[in-house]
Formats: sequence, C-alpha cells, structure tokens
Amino acid sequence: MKVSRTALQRWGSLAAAILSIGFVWLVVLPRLAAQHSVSEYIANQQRLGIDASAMFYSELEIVPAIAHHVERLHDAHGDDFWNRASPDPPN
Amino acid sequence: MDRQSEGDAAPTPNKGLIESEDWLAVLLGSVALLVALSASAVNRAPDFADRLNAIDKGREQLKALESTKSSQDDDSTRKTIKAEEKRLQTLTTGLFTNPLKPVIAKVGSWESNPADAFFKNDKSIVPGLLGVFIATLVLFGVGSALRGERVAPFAGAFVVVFLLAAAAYVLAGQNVIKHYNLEYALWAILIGMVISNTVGTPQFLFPAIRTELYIKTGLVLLGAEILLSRLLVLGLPGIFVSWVVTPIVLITTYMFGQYVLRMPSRSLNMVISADMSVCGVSAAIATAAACRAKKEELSLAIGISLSFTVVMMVVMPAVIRAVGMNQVLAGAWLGGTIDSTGAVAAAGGMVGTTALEVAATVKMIQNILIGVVAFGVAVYWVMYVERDEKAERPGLMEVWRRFPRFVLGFVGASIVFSTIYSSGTAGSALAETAIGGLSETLRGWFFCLAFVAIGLETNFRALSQYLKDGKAVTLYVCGQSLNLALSLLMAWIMFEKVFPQASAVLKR
Repeated sequence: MKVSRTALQRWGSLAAAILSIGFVWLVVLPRLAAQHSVSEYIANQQRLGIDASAMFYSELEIVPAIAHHVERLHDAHGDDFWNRASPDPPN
Repeated sequence: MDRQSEGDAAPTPNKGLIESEDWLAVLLGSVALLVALSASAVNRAPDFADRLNAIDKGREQLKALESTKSSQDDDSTRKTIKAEEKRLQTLTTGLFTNPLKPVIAKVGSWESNPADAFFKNDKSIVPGLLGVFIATLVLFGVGSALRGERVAPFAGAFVVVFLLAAAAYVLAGQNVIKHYNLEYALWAILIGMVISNTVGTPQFLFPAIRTELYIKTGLVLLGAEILLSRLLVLGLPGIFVSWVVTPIVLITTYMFGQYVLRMPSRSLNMVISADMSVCGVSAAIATAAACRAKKEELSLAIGISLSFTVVMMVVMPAVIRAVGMNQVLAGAWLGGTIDSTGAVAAAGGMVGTTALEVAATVKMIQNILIGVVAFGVAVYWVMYVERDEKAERPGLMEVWRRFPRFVLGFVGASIVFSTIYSSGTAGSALAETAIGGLSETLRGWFFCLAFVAIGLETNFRALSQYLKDGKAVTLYVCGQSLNLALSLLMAWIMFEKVFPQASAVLKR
C-alpha cells in the first residue's frame, strides 16, 4: 500500500510538472508574445534575420554575409586595421 | 566530464573494436563531417566555372570601389556596393548544394500553436526530423556495436531519448523563449530532470544515456565550424578585444575562484570562468569535457550563464543608447561581453546595423578561441590538476596517456575545415555549405541529446548543493564585471584611440 502511494505521488508529481510546463508554454508565453513591446522586439529580430537562440556563430544565418562584408572591408583597407594611425601633422 | 559518474565508463560485457570513447567520438564525428563535405563537393552548380569567374570579377570591382575613399560618401556608390555584395553572396552560396540538407532538419519556431514548429515556409519538416532520427540512430548504433554493446536495447532507448530531445527543441522554439536566448540546453536538462526527479529514469533508457559520446561527437563537429582565418578579419583591434581580453578575464576569474572564493570544485570554477569569458554554452560544453567536470557542474554553469545573458542582452543596449555610445564601440563591447552568440546579435540589432555587424564579428572571433581554450584546459588539467601531489610533473608520455583524445578530433576538424575555407572562393563556399547544410544541425541534435541525458541523470538535490554557498553566482558576477570593464576599456583604446581609422571604415 505504501509503495503504491509513493508511486502515485511520483506520477502525480510528473503530471503536475507536465501541466505546469503546458500552462507556461501554452498560456503564459503566447500572452507575453502578444504584448506590444515583446511582439515589436521579436518582429525586429526576425526582420534583421537574427536567431537570438544561436549557440555558435555558424548558427546565425546573417553571419556569412556579415563576415564576407567585413572581410572585403579588411581587404580594401588592410592598413587601417593593422597600422596605427599616424598623428595629425602639426599646423 | 567526470569519468566515475558516467554510465558509459562502466565496463562493457564484451570488448569491442574501439575501447576508448574518445576515439569513437573522433571516428563518428569524422564520418559525419566527411559525409557532409563529400555530399556538398559532388553537388557543384552546373555553371560552377562561370559563377567562380563572376565572383572573382565582382570582388575586384568591390575592392576598387571600397578603396576609393572619396566615392564612399556618395549614396549611390554605397547602394551599388550593397547590391554587389548581395549578388556575390547569392553567387557564392549557390556554388555548392548539400543534397542532405532537406532530410536533416531542426525543429522550427512557434508562437501559440506548437504544431507550427513542424512547418517551415508552410512545408512540413517531419521528413527532415525523421532523417535526423535515422542518421543519429545509425551513427550511434554503429558506435554501440563498435564498443561491443548490444544494439537493440540502445535503439529502443534511443527512440525515447530522441523524442525528449525533440520536445526540448519545441519548448526552445517558442518565440519569446527563442528571442530571449533561452537555449534548448536549458529545456533539455529540465525535461530530463522532470522525469528523473519524479518517476525516476526507467532502467530501459540507460543504454541510450550516453552523455559523453554525444557531447564529444558534437564537439568534433563543432571543431569544423571554427574557421581560423576569420580570426584576422577585424585586424589588431579585433584581436585585442577578443583574444587578449578574453584569456585575461578567464585566467583572472579562475584564480579569483581558487584563491579568493576558494571554490570547492576546480572544474566548476573553470567551466563558469570559460562560459562567462568566451562564448557561453558552447564554451561550457567544450571546457567541461576537457576538464571532466561533473554533469551537475555543466548544468549549473549553463543555467547561470543563460540567466545573466537574458539580463545583459536587454540592459546593455539600453545603457548604450542612454549614454549615446557610438555603434562600433558599442558593437565591440557587446560582442566581447555577452556570453551567447545569438544574444550578442540580438543586442547588436537593438543598437543598429553597424553595431550588429561589429558585435557579430567580434563574437565570431571570440568563438574561434574555444578550440584553444579547450586544448589549453585539457593540457593544464592533465599536467597540474589531475597529477599526484607527491609525484613529479608528469612526463610527455604520461600527459599523452591522460590527454582527452576527442580534443585532437576537435582541433583536427578545425584545421582541416580552416584549410579548405582558406583555399579560395570555391573552398570557402564548400566549407560553408558543408557546415550550414548538415554538420551544424547534427551537432545541435547531438548536444540536445546530451543535455536530455544529463537531465535524466541529475538529481535536484545534487544540483542545489552547488548553489547553497552562492560561490558559483558570485564567481560569475565578479568575472563578468571584470569582463565588462576590461572589454569596454580595450574596445575604447583600440577602436577610438589607436585605430580610429578602422572604426571609420566600419562606420561607413
């Protein structure tokens, strides 16, 4: 009897955890997403093609374009990135 | 990760062809990378040579346009440059196609209906998810067989672990969660922990709880994404902000944890120091594997890092706007300090286009440091932390005997892909197609499987004991404060005082 009660408690805890997760993800977060400031922020990120959940740079779709752009700037203005600016000539 | 607590470290009933899990991870990772690379290489565009010529010509034209400083002030010239860059990007990405990309997918995003996560551009991604499932099952099933283990129990358990990983991706795909950088790692651990701390992890699942194998194989794939030539893309200012400040912060934070806070666990100290100073979750995974940290330590470090990242990605752009900081300096500061790459881009995007470009580039350079850090931590651990106090410093043979071999696969993959990337236009396009089309998605799944496995083996009580003395959070806060101050100072010196002309080029 004691064992089955413990088992029941465990399954009850699992059900409670699943319900809590369901409530947060299906009720709380969608409502939060509908708020003006949040939806505006998300829309802006999507417009810029930013995946804020990216763990590494290679997961960001915008990175190749940015990297190639900066690489080209570097190729064209290499000195500006490697040599210290000379001080302004005295008047 | 710690060997004692790892289920897979238990002696196997039959000795397989490969006894070392590290070498197995290197083998499986190399196979996945080879498949990604060869599938992309054989699928050249029909007009490959014409595209290549057009790209080379276009680059020359761009170089000429960008070198002519006076023309940069002209709006129409700027528009021409932008349009040409876009055209070249399209031509470059079209040089190779990875035929496996449609059959290897990640779960998508959704706002109020989780079913939306299984569609991308109104097309179902279920075939892609099935493809990932089959690919991972075959890969790790072969791995089990090579280790002399029975494949059938592994396959049965793997189905459940994979479904839990998919559930974690669905939770992480909710738009609010996704755009505030609460990565899948957190939800994978949570799902696993909910099961292990309520009904308990069923015995039949244990054959597929292979945390180390999933993480190490994922790290070999991650190695391919570390393209060394990109280290130089921002010249000296980029190197100083990313590669000088970061090691200083890492080492100082670690020493602060050891000698001031007196952290009870060296490995926890190292994992927090690395994820805070380098690049968040990915650095935590790599250093935890290199210094054999406990699973609870990795979970805790990830939890702390992601919690502070959410705060920083909202607060820092607000501070930057309030003080009117220029976009190049702001981007360098954001890129050098916020842990997670996605959060850096999000924060940069809130400031402006130039800030986004600089932030993403600085973070990309910092990401490359992860290989050096993992290698350095592995060597340091073998030579100084794990050695017998009474014994002399271990010799080279002893270092080699204890060295985590997967790090060699990690570094090797980086060297091979960096060489391909640097070999020219075709090479860089091939490397990017192979990474973006297959290995990056697979790596994400491997890590997600690993975090589910970690959760399934983690006890709430074991995790909460690390939080009792508050030292872990104190370490993070102190280290991050130093990081914020030092990164800002270095970015200001480099971009404002020493290389203002580089800053001017980036602002155009």
